[in-house]
Amino acid sequence: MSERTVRIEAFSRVEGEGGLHLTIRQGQLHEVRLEIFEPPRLFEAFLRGRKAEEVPDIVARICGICPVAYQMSSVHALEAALGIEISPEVRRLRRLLYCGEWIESHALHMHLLNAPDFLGFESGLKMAEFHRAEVERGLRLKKHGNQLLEALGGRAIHPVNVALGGFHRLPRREELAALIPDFEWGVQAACDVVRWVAGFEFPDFDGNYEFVSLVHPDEYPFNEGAIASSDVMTSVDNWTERFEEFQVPHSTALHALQLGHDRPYLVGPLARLHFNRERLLPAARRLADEIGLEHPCHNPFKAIVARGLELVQAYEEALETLRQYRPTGAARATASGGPGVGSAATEAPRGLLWHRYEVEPDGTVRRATIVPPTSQNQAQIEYDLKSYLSSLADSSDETLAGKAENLVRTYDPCISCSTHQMRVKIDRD
Amino acid sequence: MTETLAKRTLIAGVGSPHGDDEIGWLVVDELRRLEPSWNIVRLATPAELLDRLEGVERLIVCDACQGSGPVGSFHTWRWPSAELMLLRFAGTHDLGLVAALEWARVLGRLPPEVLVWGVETGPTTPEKQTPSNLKGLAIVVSQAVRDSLLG
Repeated sequence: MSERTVRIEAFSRVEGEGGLHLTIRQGQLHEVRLEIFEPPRLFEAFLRGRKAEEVPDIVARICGICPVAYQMSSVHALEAALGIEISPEVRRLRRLLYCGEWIESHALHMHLLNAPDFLGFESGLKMAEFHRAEVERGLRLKKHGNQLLEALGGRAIHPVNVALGGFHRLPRREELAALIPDFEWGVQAACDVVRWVAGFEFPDFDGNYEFVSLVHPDEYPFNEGAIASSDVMTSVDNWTERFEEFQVPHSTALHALQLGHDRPYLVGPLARLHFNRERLLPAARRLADEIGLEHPCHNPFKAIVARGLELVQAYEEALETLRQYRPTGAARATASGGPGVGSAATEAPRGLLWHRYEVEPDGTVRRATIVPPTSQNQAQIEYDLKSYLSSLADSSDETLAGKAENLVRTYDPCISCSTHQMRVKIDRD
Repeated sequence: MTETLAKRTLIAGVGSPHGDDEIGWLVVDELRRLEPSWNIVRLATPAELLDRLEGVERLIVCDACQGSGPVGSFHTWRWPSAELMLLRFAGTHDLGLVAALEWARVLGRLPPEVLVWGVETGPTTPEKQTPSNLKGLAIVVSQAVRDSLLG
């Protein structure tokens, strides 16, 4: 039998470490394996026995790009477990904190990780020699996100201000107000970013996705809402009744499936936009119409445009909150202790992040479950690679590997989170 | 070093609180004690350099590195240096030092003169206490940096 193998030993421009293995038999793409080979990080195991209030700071260490997502899913799940009600002020500030994370993560991915694929550069560094203004803009936007995280979270990487019931300390008005001029510039700059990426040439590919995202009746989702898919709405408390994690031999990160469905599902910006486009704030919504982004959009290469609209959304919401902020209430509601069981899902930059905790009577964690977005997207990425590359099976190994990497980067995978960079191997005779 | 040059010289220590990775911070802390008027900063990541270079004519960076020689030895390189590319500058996150300097060059922010002081360290371990001999080494390195600047 004619067979060849193509391997990408290590993906570049993705967060974390993993590889790709392609097997081609008799000119047909036979197998695609997204190989995540980093050792499991075992966070769920070493949270057992820790005090509930320690959890947000521990889970933040899962990722340096999206620590806020882990903090948000964990505090909301633990607050549900312990019956803690947060104030409207805390609720709004937590959305503001998430805006900071979306801004720094989306700006980084769009400008330095994904745009080089569309413009034909091997790296962000090479692209910067020819598109310096765009790269400078991306770095400035990312810096705004980091500054917001510092002002509200105490520091940009692994913030330390999130607490059960609220925050350890509410920022002073002037600390947040100082950011307003930069965010006024940022809204306009983010709109320019969307117009820039909307003009890229996108490969023709339709993933015909089963999208999964939080939806909320009143707002673009961050921390609250129900889990929407094509045929059903599911409470965050019932995730395990609708979805299931499972192990595959070639990945140290668990895959996930939607029960009753025979194909994978997609989380992330395209899914969020699919269910929540009408809840975008005015500037983002007008821009979505202006650039003519189709709805629904099933082309993963256009995720960069969806990400851009969310960049505008995050700036718009952040600016409104920064302008209106007047600290009035307590920094946090008090915890009553255990026992209890609680779940929460929030929207990390890469998609839905679900946490569940069981808390003992003494306030320690009995059991923790963490389902990251990249882990949920693994099966969909393999499925898309097989569809996208099937017509290219006769191409050279170099072409196949390049196309595969381009597609994988559109999902902005955070392999460190799911458990962690990439290698591509193609088998063929 | 003249007062004018001192103002236009940025001395940056890159480090973290984790074990031997703290050496960059300890060196600049000691330098600040010796020369309080000098422009000295602690950085958590090399990428922070990109925002610190406006008006800077000379950049001195001190960071932990691996692959330059025996643990505890220290070395100086003038940018650009092929040897620098072969070394691993210890960091806990984000862009490495060489990548950050390359970004600064591409973005037109790199000052005309860049000197890198690398201190060879052992493994960096989170939550590991700063070894007492690291503080002694920092005093020796800071003195060497100061002597080089004062001529």
